[in-house]
Amino acid sequence: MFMQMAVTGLVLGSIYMLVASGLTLIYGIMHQVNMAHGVFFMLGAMATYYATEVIGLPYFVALFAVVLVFPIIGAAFERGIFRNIRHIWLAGYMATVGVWMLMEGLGWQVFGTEQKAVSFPITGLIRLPGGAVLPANKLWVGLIAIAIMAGVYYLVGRTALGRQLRAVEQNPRAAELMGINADRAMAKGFALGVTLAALAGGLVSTLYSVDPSCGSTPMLKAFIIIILGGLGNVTGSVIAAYILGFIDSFGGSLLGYQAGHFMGFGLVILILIFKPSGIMGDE
Amino acid sequence: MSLLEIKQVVAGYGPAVALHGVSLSLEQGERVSLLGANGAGKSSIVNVVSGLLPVRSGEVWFQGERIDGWAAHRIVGLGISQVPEGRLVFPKMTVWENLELGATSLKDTVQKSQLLEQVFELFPRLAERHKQMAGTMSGGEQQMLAVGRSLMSRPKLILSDEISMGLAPLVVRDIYDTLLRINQEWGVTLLMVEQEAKLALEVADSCHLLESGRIVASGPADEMAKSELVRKVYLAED
Amino acid sequence: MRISLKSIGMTVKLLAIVALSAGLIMSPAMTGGVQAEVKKLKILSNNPFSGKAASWGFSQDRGVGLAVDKVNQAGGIKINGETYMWEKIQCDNRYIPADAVSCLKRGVAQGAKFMCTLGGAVTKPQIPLINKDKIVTIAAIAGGADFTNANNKYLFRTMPSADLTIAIEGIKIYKKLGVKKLVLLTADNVLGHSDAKTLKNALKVNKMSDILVAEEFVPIDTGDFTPVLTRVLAKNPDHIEGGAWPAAGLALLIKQARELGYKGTFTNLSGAPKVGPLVKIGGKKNVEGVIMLRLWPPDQLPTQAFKDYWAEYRKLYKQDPGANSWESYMAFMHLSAAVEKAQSLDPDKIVAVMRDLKIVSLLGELQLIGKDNPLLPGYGINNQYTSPLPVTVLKDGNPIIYK
Ligand SMILES: Nc1ncnc2c1ncn2[C@@H]1O[C@H](COP(=O)(O)OP(=O)(O)OP(=O)(O)O)[C@@H](O)[C@H]1O
Ligand SMILES: [Mg+2]
Repeated sequence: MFMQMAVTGLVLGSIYMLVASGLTLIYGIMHQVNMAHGVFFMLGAMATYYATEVIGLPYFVALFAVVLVFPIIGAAFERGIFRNIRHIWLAGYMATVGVWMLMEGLGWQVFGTEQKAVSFPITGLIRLPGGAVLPANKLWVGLIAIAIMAGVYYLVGRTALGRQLRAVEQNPRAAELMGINADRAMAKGFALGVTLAALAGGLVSTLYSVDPSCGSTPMLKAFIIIILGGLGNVTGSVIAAYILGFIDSFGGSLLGYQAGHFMGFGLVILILIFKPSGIMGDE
Repeated sequence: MSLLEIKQVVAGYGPAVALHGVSLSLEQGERVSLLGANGAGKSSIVNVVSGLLPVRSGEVWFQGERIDGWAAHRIVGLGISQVPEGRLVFPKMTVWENLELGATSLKDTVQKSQLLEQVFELFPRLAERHKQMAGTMSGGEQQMLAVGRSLMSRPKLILSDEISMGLAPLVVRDIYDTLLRINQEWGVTLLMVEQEAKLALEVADSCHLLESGRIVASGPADEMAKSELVRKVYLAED
Repeated sequence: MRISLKSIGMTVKLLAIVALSAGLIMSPAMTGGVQAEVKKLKILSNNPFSGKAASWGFSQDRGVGLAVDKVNQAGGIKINGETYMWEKIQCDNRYIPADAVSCLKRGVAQGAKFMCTLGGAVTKPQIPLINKDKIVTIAAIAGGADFTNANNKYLFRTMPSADLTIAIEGIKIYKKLGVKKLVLLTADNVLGHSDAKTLKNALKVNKMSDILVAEEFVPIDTGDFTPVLTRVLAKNPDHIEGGAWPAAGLALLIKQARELGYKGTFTNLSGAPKVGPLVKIGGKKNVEGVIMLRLWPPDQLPTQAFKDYWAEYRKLYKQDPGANSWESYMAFMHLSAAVEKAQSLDPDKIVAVMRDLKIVSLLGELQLIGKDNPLLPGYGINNQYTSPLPVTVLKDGNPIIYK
């Protein structure tokens, strides 16, 4: 049972990490919460569903299409709505909440009320020592999540675009003096965050089910993760995601859902009392 | 044709007017200092040239091109770079990353690495500490980084804003010496905001005295040093 | 330990946001119908049209909508020589109790005297208002005497209560399957907890209490049941009762249990999930043999009227109807007939007529029971609809009647 709990914790942590990554990125660059994050998660899941189950594209082709299309959607969203109001914290928040409400409500009209399933091309069950089992699709989604996260690290930490994004985050005026178009850099960062959300939707939807509300719960979890990790800190959110994964797994298995949930929240609050800025947040 | 020409510039912040029709011009290779009390409008002039502060009326010309109204990130590409007041290095990035960012407007990677070598030669300190987070460096080191970073765009004109702020005189002297070297060896034109009047008059060929958003006196540095006004108010001599 | 005020402020601000948005997002949206010159009787459709329970909400709303159209097309109803037409107004409560209450208030303000709603969790907080304003309500709620009792005169249950499903049918099924170790793994809401109470009571009455080895409650929007399944499967159960999961929840629960090596059987006696999504999400092989109540196999529909209903629903909505839809359809037809028979808009007169009125509807005779019925302890009032209750089992991805 221990082995199973550990494996489940790792899988859940990887999934949480993936869902939180885009949110962390957008918060990190713009210091703005994107309450529409769950909508992009849902749209990514829906896009994958329609591409695979309706049009009949192979799964990984569909995911690739998501990677191609969502930067455009993200940039359009940033240009059309977010840019004008991001300077005012509450306006940015309210506008994205508005988009969330609108899109979710609209989603039920457009996509219908029936819950949908996307199937992952790799199936089967992996038996691990200690009597634990791991469905192959979960293993792969977890591994892809880790690979995507490594990509995000590389991009933010090692590339010119990443440097520019961090420069804009630390001081947009100084970034302009370096010759960086701060508005354009933010649009790119936002598009990247949106694409990560959609990609998370396309991957995670294969494990669970798809409907117009399927992004809300993961998003609220992602919020807890970025608060716990230290707002905008990518490493912090990775650590927090795995902490939460293990809390959910060990808590749920040892104590049952309710007690485990209660203990988990207690632990999160405890960490925040000792480190209010989050695990990796600035003091 | 002057390298930089500012004509009757009016600029400000909200209802407040910071510059009331300022005109000045810089020739290629010149070293000019701007002197003035706190709030006189020195930084505002620098920011108007950089494109951070929009003009309300008047014109800014650089190498025969009218640049007022341009976005700041485009102006860098023309060869104007700023060493901003308060240094504004990126604290959570390494020295090397800060320098790389300075070269954002350059496309040529060979030129970039040559510049980096030159900057490291001018400031060996930066070479030693290229992996250190900029925010953890001393004030003097950060100022060196800010100057080094401004060189990374291979500028024709450097606008420096209060290099001496909060630094020990020896370090300040060091940094100005480097700037003068750049002026002589690279032919870079300098427009230096400096509150330390003595310094301002020493490092520049000519000097403008600013009061409440207006230029009230201008002239060669040695003549200005002798003027009654400057001596009384800024050099605190009697 | 150093605590930075700024970061506390930020953290608090963000936490507040999360809480605030949960509330904000979920605030109800109301849409009204078009007004015409005829006399209107308004029925409020106080349902989830978004969120995890939306499929139930649409199902009920469409059932009532079809019934409203049916009555109106037949010329409406005549009361004292005047013609009335039904009008359905919708309000999205997102399956949030507080939103359901504000939906009801808005509906009343718009002149609705009748309502359809669903879910024990969202119906419970509405009861004081329903009683005070005498809103004649048809509701798809599980539970038992906690909802249906002499104090709640205006609240009629459209679906079979847990006393009819779990306590009577459930025990029969468990006996037939020879269940030795039963796990209840249900939703963490009013419905789930009331099902648990009914189940435990029924087991006690039947002297079977010892078969229940674990009970767990998890949120209705759970996607990953693995942690809690790891816990309950350690008890080696041979049967899992889901209670009232919608299709996706039940499908994931079953699929993940199978992945963890569970070989036993499943029932989901309170909820009537859509079979299509259940099979697609759970996988045909995994959901084989799942037993559910209230589901009619499309090729075994008992009456012509029901076949017509089924066909019309399919034509309009491109999918099979769910149990909520026909149960609400039938209840509304009964309600409308009672209003006409009462020849009055007085809610007290209407509900009195309803309690004794029998009509023939989709599944044959439809009536209200509850008073003096030993199977329905504590009801004391005829506010429970009853009609034939099918037991279905999934075979090769299709529901068939369980013998
Ligand atoms: N962001 C701003 N918003 C409003 N007013 C400003 C802003 N920046 C400068 N000012 C005002 O504009 C005027 C000129 O300011 P500026 O910064 O150009 O002065 P300065 O000569 O650089 O002063 P210092 O030596 O203190 O740096 C001052 O009155 C100042 O208060
Ligand atoms: Mg200044």
